[in-house]
Amino acid sequence: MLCNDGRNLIYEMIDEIKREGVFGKEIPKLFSIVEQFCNLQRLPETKFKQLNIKSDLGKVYEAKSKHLRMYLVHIEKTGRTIILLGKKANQKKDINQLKSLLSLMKDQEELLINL
Amino acid sequence: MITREEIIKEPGYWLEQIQGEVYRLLKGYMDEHQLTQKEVAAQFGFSPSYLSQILNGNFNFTISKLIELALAVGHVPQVSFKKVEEFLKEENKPEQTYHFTYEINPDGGRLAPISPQIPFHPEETTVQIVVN
Repeated sequence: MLCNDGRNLIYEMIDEIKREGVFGKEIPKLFSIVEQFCNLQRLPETKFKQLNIKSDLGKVYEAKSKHLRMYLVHIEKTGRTIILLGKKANQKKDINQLKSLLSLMKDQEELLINL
Repeated sequence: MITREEIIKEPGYWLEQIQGEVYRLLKGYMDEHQLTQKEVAAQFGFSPSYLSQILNGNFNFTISKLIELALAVGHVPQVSFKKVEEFLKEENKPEQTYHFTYEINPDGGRLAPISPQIPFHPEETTVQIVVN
């Protein structure tokens, strides 16, 4: 899980979505989709696809439910995957943030590998 | 935060799993027979929108439809149920690792075990072979 200054970002987002009470039921759907992908099961692109984001760190994927998006960054050579969660309404903003995060991480790649 | 129990107790989790299975069933059939969506629709008399819902991973029709689809592509559906506690217990079961040592018989190229015999149940065991 991605942590920033000791804060677990994905759990915070899950809590926020659950508190809002509208899209909470979609969170298990996303976990279900990601789980199938992790078990090397084929999925329709409408549910899970690789995003066209160029990063030396690894491939970026997106899992989709009706109103939520889960982003996965598979960090090569480390066996680590970073998971981020966002709302469909903020998709563009979230993807831009993800891109900046990836370039920030690229700068600190050595640190990341040695974590 | 969300627990594994919370996740598996949500109907949406299982709906996604089943929709994924149905998608793979039809997609596998189409790939195997090199059929297009149009050809499948014509072959089984499915409407294009019905087919497109399945291929988008959104199958949510009746049980009769599910059975009909499975049989149409040469499969039988099988349904099983498990208690939540049992499911979680099985998921949390620690993996057991056994180390076998084998030597290669230079004549026949067969593997001959030289490690102590340990119980081995092929139906329950995943074997990972590491060649040094």
